[in-house]
Amino acid sequence: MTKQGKSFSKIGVLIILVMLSILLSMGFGTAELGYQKVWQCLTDECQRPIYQTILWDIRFPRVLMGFLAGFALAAAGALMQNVTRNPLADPYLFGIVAGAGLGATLSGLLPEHLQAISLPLAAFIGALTAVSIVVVVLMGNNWRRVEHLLLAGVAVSFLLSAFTSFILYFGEAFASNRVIFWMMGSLARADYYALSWVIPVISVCIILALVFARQLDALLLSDESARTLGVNVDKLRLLALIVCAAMTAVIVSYCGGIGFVGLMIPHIVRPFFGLTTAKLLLSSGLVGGCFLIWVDVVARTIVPGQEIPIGVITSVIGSLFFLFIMRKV
Amino acid sequence: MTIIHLQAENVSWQINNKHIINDVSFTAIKGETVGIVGPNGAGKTSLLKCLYQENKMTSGKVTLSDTSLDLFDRKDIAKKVAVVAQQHEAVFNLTVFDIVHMGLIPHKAFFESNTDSDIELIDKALSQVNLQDKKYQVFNTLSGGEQQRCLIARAIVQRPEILIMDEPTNHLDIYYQHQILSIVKQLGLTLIMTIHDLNLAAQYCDRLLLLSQGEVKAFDDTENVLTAALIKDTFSIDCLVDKNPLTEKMRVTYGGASHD
Repeated sequence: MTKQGKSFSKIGVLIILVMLSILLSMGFGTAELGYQKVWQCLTDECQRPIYQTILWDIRFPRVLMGFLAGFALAAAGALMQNVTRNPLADPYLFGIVAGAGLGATLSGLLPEHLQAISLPLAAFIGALTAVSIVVVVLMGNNWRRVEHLLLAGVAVSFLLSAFTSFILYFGEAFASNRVIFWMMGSLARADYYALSWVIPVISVCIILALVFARQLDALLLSDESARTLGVNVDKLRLLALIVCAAMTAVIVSYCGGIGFVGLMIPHIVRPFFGLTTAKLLLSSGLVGGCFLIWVDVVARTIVPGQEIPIGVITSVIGSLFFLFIMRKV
Repeated sequence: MTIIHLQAENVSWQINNKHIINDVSFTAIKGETVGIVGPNGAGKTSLLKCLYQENKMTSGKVTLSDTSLDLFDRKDIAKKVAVVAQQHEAVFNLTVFDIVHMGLIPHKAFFESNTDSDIELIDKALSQVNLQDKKYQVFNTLSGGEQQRCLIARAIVQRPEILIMDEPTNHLDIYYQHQILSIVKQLGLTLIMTIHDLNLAAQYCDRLLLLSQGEVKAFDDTENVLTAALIKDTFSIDCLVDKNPLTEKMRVTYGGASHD
């Protein structure tokens, strides 16, 4: 089989895994349905109408959101790492989460009559503001230097986090708690309305990245080498940054901070799918989606009758993963 | 008939008000090899970078087949001019195939996938540079000569008319120096390269541009540039220039650093 044929079949395997994960994971939760009941509801009539409600109004949007969040974060991470040629890059480094956190804090802690917009929208605006600050700061000559991009992102991130901490410190305790819980990440807010925002944004972003896949590949060696291949490096990198920011921002707005997915998944995927943008993006996305579906299953079942924040679990797994890699390499 | 393929007219480039390239003019005729020689810091690499627009010229003009470079789209230039710059390590584990495959970029529209003839082209380029057995090997694990040949294969896939190379023989042993240069000579392209070793320049270049402190010291046929007087004047080294009995080309034998 050709190399190209092999990667098609590998992607095929991943798609089947995702389908299975979505089906199986719908059985887990506070109300244990089990895959038999899920299967019965899908193929036949549900035993009880309440199952129908649990399955389609609660579980399905949640599992789908889990998949999309994992897909978007991992794909954004892969894209970011490729365009900055830095294996430690992550959309979170660009202040996206810090910005979203500040937006959420402002919307949650302002006096009632000033709370004109919902928490997700405020978070989204905050995230885009953070990215805009990074881009504007770098608009001059420094724009060409990849390291400056990363450093500026980290600086903006800390600045906005400091504002958030300041506001939370003086904020009313109950509202502060709400924001703090949001920042730890959860898929509990997932519903069809949220999906109606998330699906189009992610689709457009992924399509855009795939349109420029070949040009993005050129960046893998060096900027100069990409320019000699006819690629407009500065514009392309800005586009990639915006694509990553939009994908991450829309996920963070609804699901809060889910760390380490974008950083970890591309590292797992690279040895199997290589580095070229199209393959890496799709495979990272699918693996990331699968991963988050199951992390969420753990989040909603490990402590009976209670949920633990999904971001806590991904951070634990992610950091252990990196420590493990360091020891091995 | 001689057709001027690339022409640099009064090219100057300065950075932080420091003149690096000063009023340099030269031409490259279709199919010939022009070598750019000169001491360290003479501006050889900077001049090459002006040619492929990595450095924005402060003044002057570069024309490609009688059309100013400014009038070309970036992608159109990439279809005509390929560049093999000095090497750098790749950050990720890019394979030889990944890198050679990049040569297709200027020829592809959005979403256009590889055809069988593209893959054939890549395989052919790899066998031209004798890397067909290392197709899926990681670039960073190759030797210096293999990395250089990999980048040349990428340039072949790019199907240019002009090939620009920056010190293609740097850090290579004698065998690889000659191997690289004979591979690129066989392509039949117009070749512009910077080169340190004057004996290699004598053997492979039709004309030489001698640079010193950013200015043209001489631009002429190789045998007219490689004279003991010019070399001593530019490099401050005593030397003897005669004919290499094996190649019938010029040969430079160095004495020592001259102190006058």
